[in-house]
Amino acid sequence: MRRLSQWCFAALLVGLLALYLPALYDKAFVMDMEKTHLLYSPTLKQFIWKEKVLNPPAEARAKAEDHHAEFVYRDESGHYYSREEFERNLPFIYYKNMELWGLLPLEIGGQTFDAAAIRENRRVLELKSNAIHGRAVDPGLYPLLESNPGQARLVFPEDRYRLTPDGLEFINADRNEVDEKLSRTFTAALEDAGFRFPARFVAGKHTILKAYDAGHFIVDATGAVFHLKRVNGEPRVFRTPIDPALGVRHIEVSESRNRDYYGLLLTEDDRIFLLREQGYALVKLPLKGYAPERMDFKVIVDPLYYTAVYSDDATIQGMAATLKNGVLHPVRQYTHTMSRAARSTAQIVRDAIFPFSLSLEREGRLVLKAHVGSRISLVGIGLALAVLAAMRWSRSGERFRRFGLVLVSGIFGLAASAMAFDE
Amino acid sequence: MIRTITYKEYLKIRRPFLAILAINLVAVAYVWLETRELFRKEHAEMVWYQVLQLGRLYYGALEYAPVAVGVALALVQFLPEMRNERIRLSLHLPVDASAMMLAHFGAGLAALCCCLAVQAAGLAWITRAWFPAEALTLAFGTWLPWALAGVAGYLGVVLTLLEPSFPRRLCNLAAAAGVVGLFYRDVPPGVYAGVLPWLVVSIPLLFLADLHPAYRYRSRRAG
Repeated sequence: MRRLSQWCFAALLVGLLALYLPALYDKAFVMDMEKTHLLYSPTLKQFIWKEKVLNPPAEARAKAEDHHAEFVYRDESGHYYSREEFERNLPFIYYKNMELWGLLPLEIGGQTFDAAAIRENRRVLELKSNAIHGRAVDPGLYPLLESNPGQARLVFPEDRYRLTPDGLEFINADRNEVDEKLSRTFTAALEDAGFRFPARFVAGKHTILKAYDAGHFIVDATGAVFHLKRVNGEPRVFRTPIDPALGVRHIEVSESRNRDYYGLLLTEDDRIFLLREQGYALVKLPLKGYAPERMDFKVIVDPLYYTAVYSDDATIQGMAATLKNGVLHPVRQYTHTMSRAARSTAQIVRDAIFPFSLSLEREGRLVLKAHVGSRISLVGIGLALAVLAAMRWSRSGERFRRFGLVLVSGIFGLAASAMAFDE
Repeated sequence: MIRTITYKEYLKIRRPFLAILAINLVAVAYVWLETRELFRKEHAEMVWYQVLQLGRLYYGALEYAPVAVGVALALVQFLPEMRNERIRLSLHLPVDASAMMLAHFGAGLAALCCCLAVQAAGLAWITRAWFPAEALTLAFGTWLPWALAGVAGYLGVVLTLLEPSFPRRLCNLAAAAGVVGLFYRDVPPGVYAGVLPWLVVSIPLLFLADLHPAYRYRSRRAG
């Protein structure tokens, strides 16, 4: 039992040290770099970005208008820009500044754009990897708002519904009881439209802080997508023409004043589409290397281009396209390795000291991740073994156990064995 | 002999335990008042929105209650034993030292479980009175890590108090704080669900590690 308690103590200490020590080291010595902002410039006709770098080159320093030289503005050709030049090359993003600087209306490719035209044709739709259905926490109760509230502001209904194997079940919030009548009415309306229970999932934007209410999209047992709305208290169901064979995995609803797109639609095979309001038509985003599990995605719509930007921890990719007859035609694609991917000296030293580390990270839900060091970690393990070898021993059994622990866990094992395997 | 030791522990902690249990009942009553106030101030559907969508904690009063109970019970149980090295007498009784110490821990953990049961029952009753069943899953997904922090708090203080050497005692305290910290990440309700089976492994490890300082104490190792 004594031996068991020693090993349990040692294992616990190794785990705790692997979790806390590298995190403490990172806080002290490793600069946490934000992701690069990559955008398509309609004036330069290429991608342009802003990112933080540890050692800005002289060219970037010369362009720094203030003391923030570590933020560099650069394009695909390698040119550096000042902040103002950067914004001037993105007139649809920074149109308010352009207006202040007296640069509106502006002319690009023979077309003239004023502030109102830019404002009316701007749109941003986002899908974070953590928000994908099944990854984010879903309480399983949904508020179906009144889409015709008869007033300026949207209000929450006094009920929520849940999905059951054979219908929708509405629960009245005032009484905290199932509303049988409402449940039957909405379930019947869905069934009448050809809905097959059990439903796979519900998609909607569950807030009243939005331009209007588009209702909910519900995917049925066969994969068909139904659009459910509450209009004047009554169910309104539309079976969308979206092909069930697409395998819809997630719909990110995002209502906008423009009334152009309901949002983004993701399929099981990682294809992503814009979901048009008009006829529920799908506009495919022709992306290369998009991996929704690990990449955040954003599409920026401006009066001329649709720019898709998606990134994981190290690489950011951009695809600019024009929309013609409901189809996006790529005009430029670019992949950029972000400055945050470069390994600093502090990170190399970290690998040498810590053979591995643990971390608790948010990926929708909290996950425990293990990061294994590199070959340089052998240096740290060797040093820890050397320290151990230099220590005095009264019992050879202790030496054997300690060497084993340090061999697999380096500095963590050295500290843990000193605490747990006392002679 | 083990039964006698357990009875001795019962006699030692019963009065403080009843006081701690009463404080737990007060905490649950406070959560009830807080929840009732929410529904008095706002429409029920808005409260549901705040709780289910925005992750508002109507049971925030219970966040540090389990760890406070765990620490208090460990202090009540082991502080008197450490005074004048009384535990040394127990450690030299003609009974297996491991079984004897585990009986001590078992008595403390049983008392802690009673307090946690009061919190859990109160939280379940309050939640179901005002919210649908889904809210119960969400509430327990948040409260369970706090409850485990309570168990870690108890075992961590035991690990610290039983250690005879002062510098090592500080290290044990840091380790205990590290385990408790695993269950207090600043995250929205419900996100612990996936990682909890991994984190819970630290509890049996800490439970068995608690025997280590006891052996050291018996062997008079203060270095």
